[in-house]
Amino acid sequence: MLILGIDTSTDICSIGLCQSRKFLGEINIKLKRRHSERLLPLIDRLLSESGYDIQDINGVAVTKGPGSFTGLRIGLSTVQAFKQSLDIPVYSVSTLQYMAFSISHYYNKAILIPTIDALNKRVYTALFRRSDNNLNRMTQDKAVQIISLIEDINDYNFNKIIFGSGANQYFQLLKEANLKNSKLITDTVGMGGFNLALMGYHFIKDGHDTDFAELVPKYLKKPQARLNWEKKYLQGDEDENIS
Amino acid sequence: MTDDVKILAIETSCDETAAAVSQNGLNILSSIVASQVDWHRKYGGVVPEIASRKHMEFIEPVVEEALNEAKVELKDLDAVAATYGPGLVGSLLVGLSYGKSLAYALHKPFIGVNHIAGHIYANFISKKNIKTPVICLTVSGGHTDLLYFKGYGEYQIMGRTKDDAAGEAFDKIARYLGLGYPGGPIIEKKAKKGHEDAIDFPRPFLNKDNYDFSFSGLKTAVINYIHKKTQKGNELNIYDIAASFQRAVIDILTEKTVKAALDKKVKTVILSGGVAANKRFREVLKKRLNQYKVPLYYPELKLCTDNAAMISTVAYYQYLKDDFAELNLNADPNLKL
Ligand SMILES: [Zn+2]
Repeated sequence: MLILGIDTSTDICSIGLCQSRKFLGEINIKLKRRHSERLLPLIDRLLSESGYDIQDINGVAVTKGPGSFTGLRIGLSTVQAFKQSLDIPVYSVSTLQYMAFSISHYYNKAILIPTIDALNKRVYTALFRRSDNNLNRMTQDKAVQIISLIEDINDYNFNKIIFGSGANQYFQLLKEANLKNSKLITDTVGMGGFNLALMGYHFIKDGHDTDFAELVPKYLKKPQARLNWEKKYLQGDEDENIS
Repeated sequence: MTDDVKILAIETSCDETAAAVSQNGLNILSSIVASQVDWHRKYGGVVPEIASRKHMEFIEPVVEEALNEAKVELKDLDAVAATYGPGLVGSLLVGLSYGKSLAYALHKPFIGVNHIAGHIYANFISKKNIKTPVICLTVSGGHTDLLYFKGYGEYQIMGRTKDDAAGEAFDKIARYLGLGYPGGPIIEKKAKKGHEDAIDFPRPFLNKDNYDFSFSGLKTAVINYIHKKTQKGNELNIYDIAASFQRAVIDILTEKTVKAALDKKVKTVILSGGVAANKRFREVLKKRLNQYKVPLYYPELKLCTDNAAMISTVAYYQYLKDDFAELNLNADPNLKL
């Protein structure tokens, strides 16, 4: 089972390829805003270097955020097109869950706290824990002030691993908070396209297939124009879905 | 080999998600447009972030429907095309990424198309055998472009707006008068009951010796007029304001177009974009051009507004010239012809 993984949610573009559990290759490269130019040529490079053609793949794993909306839309519309033209199953996953999965092999039983910088001392984050070979989600993806994240996680007595671009950006704040039983990782250890592809393999072999309608970014925030409009016309009642 | 070329085209440059299949360029097998106007109406204009989100939702069903209606399977296509500019970058990226990826997965050539070229070619779908060279005026919420078109693939920009697009001016005045969105059809409707010469609004740029447009001065004049009237406690005559404003826009557009047509000694003038649907505009322009025996053509309504049929037609002529794009083609929000 040949699975391709695609992550375009941050300025590091990651693509990976696995043959069932077997590692075939990955490319992780810092691109800033050039995902639109580079994504397909990189996929083509990875496939051809591994001796495959795009038409050989049996499934795709893709991240759906949180992250850069533009980056996500490039990755997700690419995956929608692959699904439509190749008629293959797809697995879309939270970027945070993929980050947690990537390091979970090294930290059994610890609470894994992936973070993505959301600017202004905020991070996107969620809590995960690996036990009995499974990665379990403890909280939903959300954007929080780094201060309130510190308060939240201090209640847990387990070992805690805080990592990702948020940990990197707010390293001083986190360090000064003197969190109990915590380890801060500021590099991107373990992250990479192969882990995403591998994660996709586990789900796709079990019959998972994300619908087209779900292959859209997970926004966690309404458009600014919508927020301004609500401020003006609604008295706090949330009558409509995010649109 | 080139006698039965089927091309799927995708268009997402603004707030319409569109896909179409054409055969040999001018034979449109299907053209699907999902309009987002309902989602933008309450904001009085297109909200880029909302447009991008909607394109993500609509793109696959719209492409699927275009293929079904054309009774064409992906494997039967000769090429895939998508608009790569000009337009809203976030919107463009959805259709472009989708189109490139389809082409790549299907091992088909990919064609990147200029949206403005699409508006010109919309005319050739509507009416075959238009005599070239032509002057083409494209007016909509997104553009006001005056082009000289010598033949397939040979165009020259003669003038464009220096500030607002004509359609944008309609939207802004409609919003100011509290009439709703989109402004074009609403103003046109109100104008029918008003007098075009009731208020003497300025016609900026009309006297200058070039082909560029400007609408911000006119817009300001209209807003000032409304402001003054209401401050003095006078009743506003919405109908007269709409009619006089519309006529000012029409005069600006008409004079520049006629000037270009005469200077370039063209055989035909063609009109495209959403504002081309304005009946009064067509009337006035037609009458002026008649004086010089220059015929005016405009596409049927569904080809005036943004659609992918026109993109697939442009793509066909690029296909004939082997004008294919690489996989690294990026969106260009300010793409020029
Ligand atoms: Zn247009």
